[in-house]
Amino acid sequence: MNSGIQLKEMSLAFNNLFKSNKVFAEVQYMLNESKQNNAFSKDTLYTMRAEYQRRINELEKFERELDKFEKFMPSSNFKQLKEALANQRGHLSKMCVSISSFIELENLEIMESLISNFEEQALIGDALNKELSDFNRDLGFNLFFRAMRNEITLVDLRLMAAAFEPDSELFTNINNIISYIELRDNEKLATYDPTLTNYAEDEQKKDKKEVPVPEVVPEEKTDTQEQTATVSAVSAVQDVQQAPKEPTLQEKLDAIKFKTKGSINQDVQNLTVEDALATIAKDIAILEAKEKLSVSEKFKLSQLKEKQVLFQAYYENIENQEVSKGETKRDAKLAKTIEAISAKQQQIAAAKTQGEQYESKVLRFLSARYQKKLKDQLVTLRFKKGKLTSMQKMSSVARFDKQSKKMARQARIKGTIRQLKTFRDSIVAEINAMESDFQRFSSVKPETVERMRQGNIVMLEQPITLEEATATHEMVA
Amino acid sequence: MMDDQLIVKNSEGKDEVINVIDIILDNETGKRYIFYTMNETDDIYASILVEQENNFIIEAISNDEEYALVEEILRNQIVIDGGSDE
Repeated sequence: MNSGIQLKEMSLAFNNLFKSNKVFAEVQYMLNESKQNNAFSKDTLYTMRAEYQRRINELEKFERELDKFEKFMPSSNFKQLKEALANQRGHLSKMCVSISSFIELENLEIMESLISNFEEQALIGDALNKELSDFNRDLGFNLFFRAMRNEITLVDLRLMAAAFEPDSELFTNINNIISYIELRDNEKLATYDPTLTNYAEDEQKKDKKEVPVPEVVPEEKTDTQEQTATVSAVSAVQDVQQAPKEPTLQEKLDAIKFKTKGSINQDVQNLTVEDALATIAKDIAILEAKEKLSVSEKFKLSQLKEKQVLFQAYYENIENQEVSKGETKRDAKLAKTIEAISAKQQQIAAAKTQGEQYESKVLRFLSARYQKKLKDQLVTLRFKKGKLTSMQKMSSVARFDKQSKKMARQARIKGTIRQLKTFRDSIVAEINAMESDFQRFSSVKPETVERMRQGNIVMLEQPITLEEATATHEMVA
Repeated sequence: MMDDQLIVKNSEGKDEVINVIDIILDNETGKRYIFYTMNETDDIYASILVEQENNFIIEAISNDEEYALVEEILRNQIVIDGGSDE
């Protein structure tokens, strides 16, 4: 597998991790929002466990992929990165166990431990992010060196950049490299040292004519004549070409690489920019320390200086971009914060206004409602009052009626009593009279009849009936 | 003969049966008044009964006051007693 493919795979692995980081950050934020009253609800715990398990799986996958690139992408932070990854994974596993325990036992101590671990998780996440950031920066340097050495092309880099999230660090770093490589065509850089142009032209000629170019400038040829001859030869070639073409920065760098092959530490794979700059400075110092320099040494020195400038420029560019990026990020973050605060303030003001309007509306509504209610109550009370008055009147009338009826009845009763008394008196009088009569008259029929039966009974004259007697008596009267 | 029936010699010397309704004694005067029916008719007769040594004389009432008295007796006494008898 060549370096470009490996780097692409690695970039993809990182990209997946960045995506996972974003999701995980959102999950953590959501969980933090869900944490109310210093506790998690059971539903939140189930969600948390599922999300943490997913994150653990993603971290494991990334760690496996990272192992494949260990030899390819050695870094001072490699171990720290792996430790940070393992630390987060281990911590999340521990939390999953705690969540399961709490769900089963509902022990408050476990909940306290969970909350503590949840807060600690944020610190662990920050540590991992820092390691990833450092690793990304080194990866950026590595990509730069490989791009400089044409091990990966602009197309590779653009493909890689396209695979990344636009807000990821690697995306920014790769784009910086792309920008820098494109800057190699900048005229200012290209005209840094005219002598380089000759080598570039040599290379061009070599490519065109397919004529092998001498790989090594013999160091032993140190005399001035040879130098002059070489320069003259180059000049002659330029004359022949009539229209000398300005070499590109890539061509200049390729020339440097060609000419310095084996002369400086080529194992840039394991070097950082700082290391490379230090090595170049050391080589320059060695050469400058010499009293006399051969042509090749002079050329080498100029190449080294050129290289130093390029590396320094790249390094400063990266640093500046990082600083600038940091500042821009911070500014952007501040601007966003201010904007968010302003928006929030507007929201609050709007909510307040709305609240006041609503309150006013509610008050009006309530006022109207209470007024209506009071009116209704007033109507009801008036009705009740009317009813009561009416009832009172009716009651008075009834009372009067009742009283008058009672009086009438009493009068009737009195009358009746009087009548009865009269009747009683008459009865009594009659009874008395009758009693008097009874006392005066008494029946002697049985004994008299018995005696009469024993004796003689003579009727002196023909009797007349009582009716006849009464009639006679009335006639006489 | 029934308990209330008596045989009486009339003024012509003939026997006649009378049904005695009641015989009332006036405690004030000591007179007896006999109320009776004759010849199985509903006509009531009232006469003064005078007792003389086992002989009884039935005399006619000629005094108006006595008639009034007899009516009174008849209304208050006899009718009531007669009602009770029935």
